[in-house]
Amino acid sequence: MLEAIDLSKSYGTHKALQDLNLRVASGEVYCLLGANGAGKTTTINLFLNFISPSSGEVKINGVSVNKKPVETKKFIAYIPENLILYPDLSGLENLTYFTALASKSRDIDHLENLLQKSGLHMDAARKRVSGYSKGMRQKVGIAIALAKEAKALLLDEPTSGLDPKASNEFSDLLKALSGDGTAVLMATHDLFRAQDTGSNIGIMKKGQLLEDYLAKEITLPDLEKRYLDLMKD
Amino acid sequence: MIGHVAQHELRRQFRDGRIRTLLIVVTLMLIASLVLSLRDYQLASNQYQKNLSQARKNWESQSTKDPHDAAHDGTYVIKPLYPLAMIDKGIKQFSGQVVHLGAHERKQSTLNEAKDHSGLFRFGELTPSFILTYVIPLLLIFLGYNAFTEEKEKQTIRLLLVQGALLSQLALGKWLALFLQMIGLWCLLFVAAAISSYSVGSEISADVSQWMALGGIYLFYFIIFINLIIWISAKASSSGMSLTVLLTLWIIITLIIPKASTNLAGWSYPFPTLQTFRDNINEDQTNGLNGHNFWNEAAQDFQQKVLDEYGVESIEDLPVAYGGLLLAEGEKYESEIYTKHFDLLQSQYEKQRSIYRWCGLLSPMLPVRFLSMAIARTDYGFLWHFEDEAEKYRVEFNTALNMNIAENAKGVNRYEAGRELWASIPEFDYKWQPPQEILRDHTLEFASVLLWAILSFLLTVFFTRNIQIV
Repeated sequence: MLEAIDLSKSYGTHKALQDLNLRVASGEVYCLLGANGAGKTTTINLFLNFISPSSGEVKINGVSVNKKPVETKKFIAYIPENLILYPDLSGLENLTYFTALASKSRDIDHLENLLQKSGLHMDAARKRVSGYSKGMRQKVGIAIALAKEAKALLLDEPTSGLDPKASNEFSDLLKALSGDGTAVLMATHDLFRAQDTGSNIGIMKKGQLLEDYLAKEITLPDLEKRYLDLMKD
Repeated sequence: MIGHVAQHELRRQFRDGRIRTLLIVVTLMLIASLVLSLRDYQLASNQYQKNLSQARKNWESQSTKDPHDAAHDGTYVIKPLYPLAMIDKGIKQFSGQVVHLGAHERKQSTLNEAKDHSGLFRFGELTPSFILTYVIPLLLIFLGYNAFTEEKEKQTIRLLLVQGALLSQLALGKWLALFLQMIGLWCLLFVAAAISSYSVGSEISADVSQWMALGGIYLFYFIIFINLIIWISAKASSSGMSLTVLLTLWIIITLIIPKASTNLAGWSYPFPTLQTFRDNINEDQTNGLNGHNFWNEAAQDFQQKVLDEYGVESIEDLPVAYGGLLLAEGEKYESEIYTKHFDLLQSQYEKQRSIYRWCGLLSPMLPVRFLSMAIARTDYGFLWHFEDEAEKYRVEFNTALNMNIAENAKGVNRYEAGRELWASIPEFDYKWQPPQEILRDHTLEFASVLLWAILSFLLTVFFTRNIQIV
């Protein structure tokens, strides 16, 4: 579903990403771990076509992002680290607008159901987003992805700053989404969340994917030890 | 897609209390300016009708007198007020409203409105054209300066793009939202002004096409600002930067270039002082016919010509009163001198206009103002057209009186005419310059506005396609 083939991105002499090869199939949650500047966000931005690769190729659902950017947008949804919606509109109105842009059904009952499915209470969904916590905004983000019927979800540090309960609820939502066949690529610093939510875990450093594991084959202590070892210079 | 974006922008803006307040303030200003203009127009229209009939009444009720004395007393013509002057008063307040038509001398309009006020009148009034030219562009800037920058700062633009929106669609949607807000105010002003102008019941009316033409010019002006706002907002790195750049542009377009071009035009092609202007006319008149001088060379030549025409040897043998013929001929001759000197003034003004036209490439406000004043019949073009027509009438009016002397004063010791003659002189019937003629005279101004609108729109469409997202 999500595929990076020999993907590189350079800014002048600085290599932000080097020869990344990565594949996230439907129903998988691939967690990219790494320190700041490791290349996680660059990878996400390349999938989103916000930047162009220096070499290599990015494919979504088998379609080249660079060659057919508009077509690939149909398959994906995106939740950034700090999802800022339109504060003067309610959660439901935000969802309606983003869904309209994706040319999907804007039936209010349907959208309300999606917000509820994402864990947002209806009384909150009708209030202005200016009063929302980060967790509530992330839930609207999930509802946007659900309304779009996205085949792939790209997440950039989605749980940073969330309290443990909200973070846990968010993980459950991701698991439910992947259970429905959505491919998820998540950049995160959170080893626990990666091990708990992910089906695959990759560790990046200085633009390179150093190692990757199946989540079920590595314990959290081992993952933590391996991560810390790799982060040493 | 574009419609969704526009609808979303409008909803967001109407939810913002600051924007609502701003819109209410500008709407109230617009209504106030319209009410004041309507009151002025009503007063001026009533005054016009009253003065017109009074001037005619005064003329027709003159006592028995020498027709040439009556010509010296003269009559008045009143400058009519076109309904569109409600929107743009142009130079109306600073140019005279009345022209005295007498013998031998072409006079300029007198009794201007500004003289009835204190010097502070020069600070300007709250008029619809002020709101249209200065306030609405400023309002549009405040409504749209952060159209793109806020999306970039809050990163909502990323979500919009991921949802499948194209940058060009977002730009056009935001453009449409600003346009719809502007068109609301535009409609309010022009529809209300047009309807209320008909309610005044003036004999002078402007047809719908004229209202549309004036409104269309301002529509183009606002579109230029909307284009610039969307373009700058898309290119600026922050909302603060966007606002600073747009306010600077507003200052340049509405204040600096227009004022600098006035200085440049006056400096490059100065008008003569009133004293020089009069001296030049006097110099030309010195050796010509003036109707009262029988002895100079020009008068002698004319006398010989008349004698030849009638085939007689002396004035006494003429079947008509020679004095009347000389007065009529002198009037035509003097009028030609005035026409020559007024034409020089007008050609100087045309040269100044060429400076304004070039400066119009730097500021769309200049061609818009010139077009607006021309369509509202409150510009120099109208003033001169009216004064030229009044001068033609003055010559006809004097010729009729002088020829009456020529026909009736032969052999009479003191010829005097009465009310029958005064009533037989036709009234001044001013014919407005046809709209096509005005438009033809302002083709370059119109082309300049069109060029601004097209270029700024292309800037918006092409440059918003490549906004740096990351």
